[in-house]
Amino acid sequence: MTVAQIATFALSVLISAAFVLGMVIVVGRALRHARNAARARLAAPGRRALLALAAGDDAPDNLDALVQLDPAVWRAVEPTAVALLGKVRGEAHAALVLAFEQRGMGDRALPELRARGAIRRARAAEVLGNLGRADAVPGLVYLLHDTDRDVRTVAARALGRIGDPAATRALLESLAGRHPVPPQTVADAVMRMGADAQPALAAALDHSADLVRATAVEVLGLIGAITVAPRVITALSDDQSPEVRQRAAAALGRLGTRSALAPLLEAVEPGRPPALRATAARALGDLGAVATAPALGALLSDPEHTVAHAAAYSLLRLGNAGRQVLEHAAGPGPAAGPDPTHTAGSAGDRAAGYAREALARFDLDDQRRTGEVGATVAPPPSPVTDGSGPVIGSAPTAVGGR
Amino acid sequence: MAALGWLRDALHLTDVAILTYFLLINTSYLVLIGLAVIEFVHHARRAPLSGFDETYRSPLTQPVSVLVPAYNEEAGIVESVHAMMALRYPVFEVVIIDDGSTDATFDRLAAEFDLVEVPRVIPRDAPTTGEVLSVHVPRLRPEPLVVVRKVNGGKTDALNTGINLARHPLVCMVDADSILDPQALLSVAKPFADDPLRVVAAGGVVRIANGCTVVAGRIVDTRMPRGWLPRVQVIEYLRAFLLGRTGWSRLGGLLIISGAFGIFRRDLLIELGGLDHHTIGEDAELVVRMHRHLRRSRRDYRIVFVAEPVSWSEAPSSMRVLGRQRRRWHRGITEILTKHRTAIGNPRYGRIGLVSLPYYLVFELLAPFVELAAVLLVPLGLLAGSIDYAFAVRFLFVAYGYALLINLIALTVEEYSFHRYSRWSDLAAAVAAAVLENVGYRQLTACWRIHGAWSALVGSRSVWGEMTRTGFKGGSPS
Amino acid sequence: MTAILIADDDPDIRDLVSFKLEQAGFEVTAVDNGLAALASARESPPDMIVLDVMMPGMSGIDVCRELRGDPPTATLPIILLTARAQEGDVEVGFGVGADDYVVKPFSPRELVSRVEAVIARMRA
Repeated sequence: MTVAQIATFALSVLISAAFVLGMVIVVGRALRHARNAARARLAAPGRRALLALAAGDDAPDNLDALVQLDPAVWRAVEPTAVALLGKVRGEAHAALVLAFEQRGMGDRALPELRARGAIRRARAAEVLGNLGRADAVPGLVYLLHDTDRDVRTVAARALGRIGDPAATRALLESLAGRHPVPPQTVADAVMRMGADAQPALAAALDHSADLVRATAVEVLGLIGAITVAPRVITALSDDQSPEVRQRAAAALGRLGTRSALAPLLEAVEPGRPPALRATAARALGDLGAVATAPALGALLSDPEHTVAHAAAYSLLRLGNAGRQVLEHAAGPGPAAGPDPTHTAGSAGDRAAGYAREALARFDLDDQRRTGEVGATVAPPPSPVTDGSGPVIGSAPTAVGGR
Repeated sequence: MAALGWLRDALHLTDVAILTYFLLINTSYLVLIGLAVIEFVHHARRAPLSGFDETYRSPLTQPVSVLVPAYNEEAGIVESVHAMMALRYPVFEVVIIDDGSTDATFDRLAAEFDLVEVPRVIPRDAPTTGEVLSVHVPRLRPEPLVVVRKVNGGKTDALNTGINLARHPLVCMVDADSILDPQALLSVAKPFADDPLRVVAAGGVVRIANGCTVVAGRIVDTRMPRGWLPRVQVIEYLRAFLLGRTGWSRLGGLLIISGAFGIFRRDLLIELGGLDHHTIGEDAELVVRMHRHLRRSRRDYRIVFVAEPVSWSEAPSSMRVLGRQRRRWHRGITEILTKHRTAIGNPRYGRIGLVSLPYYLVFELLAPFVELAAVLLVPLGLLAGSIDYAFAVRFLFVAYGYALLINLIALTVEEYSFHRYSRWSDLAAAVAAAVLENVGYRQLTACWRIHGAWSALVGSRSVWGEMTRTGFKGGSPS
Repeated sequence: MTAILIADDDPDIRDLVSFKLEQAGFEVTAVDNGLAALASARESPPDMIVLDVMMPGMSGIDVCRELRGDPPTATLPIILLTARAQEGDVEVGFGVGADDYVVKPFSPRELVSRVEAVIARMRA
């Protein structure tokens, strides 16, 4: 080919490609703007009714207005409605769920659990979870072993939202196997089941898979299953998996039973894995038993940083006895002001370093409690938590919980 | 005469080789863009199902220590810290490491947050050289902020110190001048929650902040910058970082995570011995070392690239600063590839050894050399009669026209997936910048990059350069 | 009429709360970020403020702190609205001087009764 031909060819390819891409961008943008504007316009009347319903208005007209909306208008409003579902609770939530159900969303979603496309299955699971449909539980349990990871995750989440404790065992089982569900999703879902999940969780402590036992013991601690404490203690002492033992230690701290003292004191002894020792030291702080102060004090000079650090902060939570131990270890006087020590140096120096750090933290917390603008004078949060997560406020007005 | 003929043939072969090189590199970009598109579509369809709210509310979400090395950042440090404290994440701490700043960086922080010195025992998990002078926390505010003052030791040393001080199992390294998306931590920490046994590191998309309206540390409006230099860089970032890295991630061969924002497991960082003091591209070197270490120990692992914008950086708007940056980057690549040369082409390292590293060697390290060779040898070949005009035209098209096409495709993909540049004037500026990149900019950066590679080979002292900061108050001037 | 300022970056929550409060007989101003909230509160102080904690620009905590530090707005009743309810957050919230703390998901009806309670307390 001649130069001119090549040049023309190349140039024409370039220009036409640029033109095509330009068109794609321009047209795409115009279409998107038009679509958004149309959707906003359509949604306007529906949005008002939706907000009125979500505002907890008891007037039945709102519900009817929403239910009788044109399908096109409803489609435009639906994303907002679904989003609102996660943001409100109480009567507002119930009213929204009713609106969804009366529009048939739940009934349409149920068979979709077996749809061909993974996204469709996942979306259906999400909707059914939001609506709290108890009859979807068997279908969702089946999806826990779906080949698509997102479908499995959404199904687990939906089971948590619905809150039927009968699904607990299936959820825990889904942790192991060829197509596992992320452990955090399972744990969150099981936690939402509350106390009714306890039997299944206790049974899972004997499961063959490490991850199942570890998750079960962790959740038991988080939901405050005090009656199962003996089983957790056994897990701490006898389980083969270090991960399970570590989580058992943390769980015992959360459960707060006195029977956990001796096993935890044993778990902090040298020779155990450092992670376990540090967790056990922290758990002793959670328990807040003054009798453990000497043992924790001995740990201040431990060569393992995480263990000594945990021991120091745990001593802070043992009241005066703990502080006395810290002051003793910190040595005579604050010396020439605070100075960051490194973990090299003699055992006594190291212990002093950790002790000083913890004491300084205590002083700081004290200052903050009394020195802040408008702070209510409230006692510090008690170390034995109820384990269910959200707040037990230390202030007069109750806080809106779950 | 025979010698001249031989020379002419050699020139011809070289020119053909150069043409082939450009053909290959541009086609590789096309492939990466194609993969990125697939990834974006996949991600967009599944995004509504990701359950970020649950991760945010869950008591099991792992806490993160955000490490921010700072050297003479007085202009924007306070706003930066405020913005970081307002990140949407359940439990995290922000650790500012003042690496011996000579300006008012620390003073401004101390004044703003009423810092008080506290004693702190610091483990020596990662090796550091600069001694820690003091550790500070806010006196009255219970917010999780820690400011460390240390003797100057460079960015790597600052980060290693931060790793030592970090209290949480996940560590996120952020540049002090980065503007973070409020959801950034949630986005990059989520892979760890979804696949805790395998995910060891994650990174996200880094975009250019120049020209964008920044209000109190948050991007409020995305615009193309005003200067041409940053404009061209926006295109570059789109192609190489947004699309290129997404494509590599989809391929499973993501070699590096941006140093401006990366999150890692702390225990693994300690296992690796922290960052390397002797490499200038310490963030990239860390990830390459991570790959090798994990593959050698035959561990099943994943390094995830999150296809969402997490961090915005100020791009250099002057030639001097840009030159320094490119020299530093290329010097980093050279040092890394030299240090890890035994892994290149080594099947023991799987896709990283067989695909990613060789690609980086041929199409990243050598690229500026070929670029300049083209500028010199093609006209020379024409003069000498080794190649004819037909070849020259073909060459122009393959080297520059094709590249321009790639840029335009990248712009189109951005438009469809993120559509952040909403104004038509921005789009026009972007197209113009796409053209400009090939007409002068590439050749310029090639010179700087060659200089950087040369510095690495010669082994001159590394310098963590300073960028003149104007700080982010309202629209950032460019 | 009692004037209330609501600041939340989520348009659905903003509209929802505005609607509910207007229905209950209040005069509502709505903004979508912390800086605007601060500016509006200083320019024409409302009778009470409902602040979302997680907002771009200034967080609700920062806005609360700023308002409490300024004499004209130091006694303004403030309710914080947030999705985050770990122990430390409540402490921080009350620590900067908020009068009440509502956790999302919330009941709109309950929010209104809290608003009314806070206002009654202030007026008493």
